[in-house]
Amino acid sequence: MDNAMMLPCDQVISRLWEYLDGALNETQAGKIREHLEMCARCFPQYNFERAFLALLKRNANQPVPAALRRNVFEALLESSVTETNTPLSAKSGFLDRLGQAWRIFRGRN
Amino acid sequence: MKNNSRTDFAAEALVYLDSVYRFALRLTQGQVSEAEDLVQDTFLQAQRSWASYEAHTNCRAWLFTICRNRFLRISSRDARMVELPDNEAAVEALAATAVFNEAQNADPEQSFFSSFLDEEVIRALDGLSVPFRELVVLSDLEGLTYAEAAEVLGLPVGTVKSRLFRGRRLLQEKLYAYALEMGYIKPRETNDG
Repeated sequence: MDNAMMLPCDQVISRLWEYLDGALNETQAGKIREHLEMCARCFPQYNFERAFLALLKRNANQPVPAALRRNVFEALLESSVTETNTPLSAKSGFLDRLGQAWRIFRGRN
Repeated sequence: MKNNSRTDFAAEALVYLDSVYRFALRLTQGQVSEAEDLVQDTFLQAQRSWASYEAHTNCRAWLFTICRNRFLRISSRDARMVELPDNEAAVEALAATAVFNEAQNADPEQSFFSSFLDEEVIRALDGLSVPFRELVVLSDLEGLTYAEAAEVLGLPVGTVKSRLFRGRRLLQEKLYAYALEMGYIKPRETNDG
């Protein structure tokens, strides 16, 4: 980049992750964005890093197996029932909520 | 404000079952049975400790912390296990543009990342050591901010950032090497001879 008003390329590249992570304030992000719009050298790297993060994000949707969900609910219920120090009122409230969650879960599966 | 009631546990904690499972699965490098035990232990521990949880703060980060601590304990690992191995610490010197430049030269169409199957990405991620793997998972798969990840790991935000960025570079290196091996991209031609 030749424009003296713009951030130099090395500063942009060093802050690229923070920019992509949304961790910069609006002023800082604006300067990076302005540079990327004008710079033929930095923009491809921005695209490369963005594609990399999108690739990782693609793997973020693995749901918990239904059997494990059931086991966790049952273990929590059992643990709550067998616990002796919990006041009855608190215990029954907890069980009500857990039971509701369990019914919702079963309704979905 | 401490949450002394246990009635909100189902509403506030159990909604993160999927997130905790994914985190556990990566901590255990894809060992499903071990991950499932870890998830169950995590939620039982969370239920027991529910009174100490600050209501309506960051329940997901709190659960991740419990999960990670259980993992370290169950696996008989201690804090030293999550320090940086010497060989991987050396990657700090890796130039920010190194992998990008290599990939650009080998793949001018910039389709590098579109070649990978999900299981190949996961295998490469599982190949990272714990300090890098846990941060990449928390930040890039689960979407935690630097501050939230710092809370989970008990690290300063600056350390989280530098370690996360190094983890990403290491992962890119692994993917690049794998892409060459599998023929997804061709090695850069040199003028040495």
